[in-house]
Amino acid sequence: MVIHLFMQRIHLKRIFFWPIVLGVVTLLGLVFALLEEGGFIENLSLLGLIVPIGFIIYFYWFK
Amino acid sequence: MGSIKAWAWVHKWSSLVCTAFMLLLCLTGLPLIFSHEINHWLGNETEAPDMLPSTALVSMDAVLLSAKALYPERVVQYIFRDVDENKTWTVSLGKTVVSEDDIKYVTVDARTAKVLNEPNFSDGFMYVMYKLHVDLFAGLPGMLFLGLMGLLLVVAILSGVVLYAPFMRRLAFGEIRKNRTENLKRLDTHNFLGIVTLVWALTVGFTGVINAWAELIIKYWQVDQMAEMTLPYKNLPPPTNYASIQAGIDAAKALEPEMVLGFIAFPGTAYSSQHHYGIFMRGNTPLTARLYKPVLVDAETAEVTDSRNVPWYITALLVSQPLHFGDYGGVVLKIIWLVLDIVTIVVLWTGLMLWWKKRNKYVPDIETQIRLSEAY
Repeated sequence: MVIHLFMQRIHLKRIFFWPIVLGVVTLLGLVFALLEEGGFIENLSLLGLIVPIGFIIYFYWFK
Repeated sequence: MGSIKAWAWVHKWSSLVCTAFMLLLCLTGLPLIFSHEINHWLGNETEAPDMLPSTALVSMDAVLLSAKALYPERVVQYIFRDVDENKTWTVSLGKTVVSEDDIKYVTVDARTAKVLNEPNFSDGFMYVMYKLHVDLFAGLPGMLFLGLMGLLLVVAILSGVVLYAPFMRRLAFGEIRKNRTENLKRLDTHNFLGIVTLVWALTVGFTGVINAWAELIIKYWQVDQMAEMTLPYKNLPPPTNYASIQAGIDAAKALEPEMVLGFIAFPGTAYSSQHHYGIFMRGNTPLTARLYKPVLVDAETAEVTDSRNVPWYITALLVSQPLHFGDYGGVVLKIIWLVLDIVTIVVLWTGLMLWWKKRNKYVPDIETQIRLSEAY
């Protein structure tokens, strides 16, 4: 039952913390862009969608 | 580890089956994101002259007359335009009201009723990209096949998330081991890019699957609701004289004063009946501009006979379209779509390479693979 040693909840929390944050931010971005065009909400939602791209650039090239 | 082994099997085979098609969809999707801009550069887009925004619109009957004057022997099927177009209308004319081939399109200025262009929607580079993306030039079977491949992609993504955990036990988020072997770098890149773009890829993948069913969903709606709405007219002889289409639009607008005209289906087409103008109204926000509400108008009297909101399955289809195309928020959203599309290509490619490089080697079971990947 090696799996239990490795897959303790604490590990899962650590592993999936950032993926969940990014997932929620992306989802909010996708949905909020549907609600308004050319206003504050749209800018906020575009920001949400740019965050994952920012993560890619930072972790791949700057870290 | 038994279940991990099963997930690894699911991930491997669901990906392998769909990867070639997904690469095709990602590549053909790239120009389609910018189809509006590309058509503009290619000069295929109709440019209506600038006039004061307050310039009055001509009656739709005048628009219709201009288009019909070019093809007097043909019948009008639809009048439509893009969501973000407000200066022109495009009229489609077929040899019969139900013919699907050899359709002529006439774009007319909505303020002067002057014919501006006769666009050809079934020709050129963008048409090839579109057909490859939507149905592989194979009609409905092609669409459904690509829908099935999209479903496999969703399975591959979800199984990939499950596998992400054991591969990341000893790694920090975003850690890419660039200075070890090429294969480890590839593995880390695949895992990292895959998990970061997870929600976007799932959204575009799943809404693509819904779009693949569009034709069948719309057919079902026609049998289900359209038939019900036009039932009282079913056995009446076709009308002998037709009311003004502008009068029909005005009647629809009086019923839905908050909405604007989306498109018009003429009597006998799939979106109306022999006796009706199908006036499809829409809202004004990025979301509601894509949610149509049919108003059926008697083609003889220009009176509204029925109007009801579309059922949930049509709403699901209509909402899934902007979420798939990324065309609902201006050029920045399109660029985001472009970047994430390219990232998805990298995920597909690194995944394929991870499999390809070890296809002729002895491959230990998934547990040993995970341990080996950690042993550095």
